[in-house]
Amino acid sequence: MRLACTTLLAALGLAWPAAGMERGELLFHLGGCQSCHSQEGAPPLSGGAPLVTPLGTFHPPNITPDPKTGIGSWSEDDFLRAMGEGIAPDGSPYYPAFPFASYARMTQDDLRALWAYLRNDVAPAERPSPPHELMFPFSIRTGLWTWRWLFFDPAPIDPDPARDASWNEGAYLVRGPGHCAECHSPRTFWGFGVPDPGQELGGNPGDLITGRAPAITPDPEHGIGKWSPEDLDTFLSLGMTSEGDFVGGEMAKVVENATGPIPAQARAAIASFLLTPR
Amino acid sequence: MRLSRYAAILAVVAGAVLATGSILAADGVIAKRQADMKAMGKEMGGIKDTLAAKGDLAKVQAHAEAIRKILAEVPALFPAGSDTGPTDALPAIWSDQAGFDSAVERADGLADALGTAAGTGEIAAATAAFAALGKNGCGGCHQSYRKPQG
Repeated sequence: MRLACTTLLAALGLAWPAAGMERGELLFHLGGCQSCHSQEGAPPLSGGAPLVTPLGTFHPPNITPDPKTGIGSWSEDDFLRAMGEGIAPDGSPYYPAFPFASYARMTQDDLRALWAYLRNDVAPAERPSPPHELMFPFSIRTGLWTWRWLFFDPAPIDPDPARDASWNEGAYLVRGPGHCAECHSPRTFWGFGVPDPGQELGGNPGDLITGRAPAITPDPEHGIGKWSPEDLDTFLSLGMTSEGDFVGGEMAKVVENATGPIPAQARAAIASFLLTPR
Repeated sequence: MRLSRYAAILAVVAGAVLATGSILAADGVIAKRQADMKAMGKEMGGIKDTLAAKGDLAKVQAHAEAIRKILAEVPALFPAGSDTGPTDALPAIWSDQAGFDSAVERADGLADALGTAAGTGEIAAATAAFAALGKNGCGGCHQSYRKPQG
């Protein structure tokens, strides 16, 4: 499986040595699963702290392999559909608080590697997840089909042959598993839609799901164009800006769970993509 | 009759002056604490540079001491009433004063631990202590008591 994956990537010109970390584990960290699905005082991934939004409160569910309260009874196809299409095994659509619009851009091989990691490397924990508490009319899940029809159109992340392998890997990690745009891009349709591909990573004043997030484009004035790759590595691994400031808020969780634990090489790829003018 | 009108005007003017004064005072303390936070950031940047260059750990100790000196002043820089104005401080600082004070104490303890680790001359220990200070000291406090930046 792993060999096939590597061979395929190599064939695409995306040779990616694991640098001491299996692909599934890398995707697990970068996907930030723990930031939403874990909370203090409970077993890892057995359900996260309530996510309070103007639409109501979401309760990120248990995603451990526990068959009763987690995703232990799922098949691989169930997982591929959840991540790739945003549809639960029972056929109901997920709320986009679960950033499936980004995950849906991942390759099938990567989703399988992530599934294998969640199945084999996460301890099952029996802990039921409470249902979401949303206000009317958002509490009606059927309405999500309209949302999907209007907005959900995931584009695969095609490698850019004009760029090197590191840039392409960075672009993939940022746009797919890293789901950076979910907070750092403004959403279409006054905050109701998907991260706007026309203003990718251009900063978000805050919308119905996420708080405000700065622009992280390569623009030297509005974005992070003045950062060096080393600055960005320090920030993504420690949470420290070049001014010695340490982030709090959601980004602190991203650093702790997602960009901190991954190999320096993956961070360098992310920096290559983020800092190169597009 | 007239006198009471004078008194009323005087009271309004005096009130306005006092209010302006307290706003200016709050702005002053806000500017001071922002400068102090920036100064601590600079010390942290210095530590990072020294560690990255595998430089003199005595410098790291000095930076850690400087941070502790600034931290000792921090609780007094958030007096009641300084929650409005050009500040990113969250109301939790004043509604949960004990929590805020203990977060500052935790940062101080981590800065102390960094000084001790640097004193052993082991770069790995100092690096770990530095990361802990940044994440749980600086970042820990920003997580609960500062508005998200950006």
